[in-house]
Amino acid sequence: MTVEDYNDCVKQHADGLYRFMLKSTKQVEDARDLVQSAFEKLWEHREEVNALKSKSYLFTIAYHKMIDQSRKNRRMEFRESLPEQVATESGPAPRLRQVLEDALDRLNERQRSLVMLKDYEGYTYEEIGGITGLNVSQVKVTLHRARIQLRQYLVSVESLL
Amino acid sequence: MIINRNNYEDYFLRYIDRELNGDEQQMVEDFIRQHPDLEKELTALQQTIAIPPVMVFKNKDSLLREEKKRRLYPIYWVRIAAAFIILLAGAWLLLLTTGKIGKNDDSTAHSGEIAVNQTVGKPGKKSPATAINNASGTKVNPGSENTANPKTGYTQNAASTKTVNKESGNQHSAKQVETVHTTDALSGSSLKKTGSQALVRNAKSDALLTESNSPGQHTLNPEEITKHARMNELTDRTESANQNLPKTTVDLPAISLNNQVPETALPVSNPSTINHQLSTTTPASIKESQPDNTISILVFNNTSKAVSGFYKKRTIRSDEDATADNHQRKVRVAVFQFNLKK
Repeated sequence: MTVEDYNDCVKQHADGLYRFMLKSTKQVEDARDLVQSAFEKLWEHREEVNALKSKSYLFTIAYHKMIDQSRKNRRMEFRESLPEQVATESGPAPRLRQVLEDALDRLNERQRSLVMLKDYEGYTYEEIGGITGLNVSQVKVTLHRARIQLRQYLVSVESLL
Repeated sequence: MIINRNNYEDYFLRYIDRELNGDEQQMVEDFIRQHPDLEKELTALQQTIAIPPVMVFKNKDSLLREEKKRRLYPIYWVRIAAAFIILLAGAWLLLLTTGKIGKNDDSTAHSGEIAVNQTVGKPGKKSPATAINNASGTKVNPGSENTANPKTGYTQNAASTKTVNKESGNQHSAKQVETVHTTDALSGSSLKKTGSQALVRNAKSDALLTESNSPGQHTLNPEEITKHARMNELTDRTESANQNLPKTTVDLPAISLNNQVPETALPVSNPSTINHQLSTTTPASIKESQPDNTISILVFNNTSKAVSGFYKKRTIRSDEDATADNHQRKVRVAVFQFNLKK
């Protein structure tokens, strides 16, 4: 990929990667460092990376770095409030979004990552398997369990309300 | 596989994950219409789809790379390539120039040096002369290939031989008046050849003896002639002894014309003679010149790898009780050429 492709990749995917890292790590600085290291690696291997697959490359690098880092630090906190980067909201009502965010935070690390890769980035099972290192069946089963868990949480919240 | 009440959940999950093809999607939608009680479950699963929040990475500019830096590389390499080409061209020109100079130096060092050792009567000074005036008085042109060509020398020698033979046929009495013309033209001029070497060795002759009654003549008395004949005989013996020496060619490193090399110190390996008419003549007595009446020239041709030579010796023989009337003159002329093995 050329420098122009790389810069286009930064402009198109930096925000999404940062969102994915921030939602996964719950740490702004960690998320920034992971994003920077991912793009640094992409720059180093820009000659080998196809521009069309640069997004998957970035998310793969960032995901594995994040897993390594979380295993070392064990600093993943589900209840940490989201930073200020949550700028605008669209779609469902703010209340439902907050409930959904809370439900997402209750998922384990792998489930949350897979849900975000599926719902935020729109990857297929196969692509998610490529990023996370899981096979398609594992991705499918993990996602289904995460969905069932989210549904149960949402139903319980609605019943309380 | 057809959707039913036992497996619909898997279909519903794949439906919300957009992992079904068109037919399967249509099948799920038809199944919902047929089973409206399951529509709530599908809606509950659809609500689990996470909605991506809008987040901005503030340090995005720090990730961008400037293309200017990358564009500098080709310019940089082009400059290096241009400098390298210029250096190569300069080195090539330098080598060419050096090669030419070396070639010129080499040709000078090996080109037809002619060393003429000539003793005219009493030894004179060594002269760095490099030119010889030939029989017609024409100056040998430095660098001329004709000069280097032994054939040229042979032609001249042939003409000279005729002259000498003519002289031999006129064997007169000892009282005959002889005038000896010697030359100084061997000094103070240059002789160069290209691609050949010429060695003149033991040019003891004062070149050409011409007998005439010209002014400046010198009359020899019988005693002088007898003495002269004995000296010639001694010279002849020396020459014959020298001819028995191994024939080795000695390259003289440079042009030299020696007028004073002692006769005994001159090894005659390949005696040859150059017969040259001398343009500038100096009257001299035969008494002084006759002991040195042999001329040998070696010519080494670099191109043909051949050694050519010319030899001429003039002797006067007389008996023990010789008088001025009964001495005899002999002129020996030889031309040879050796092709060297490569």
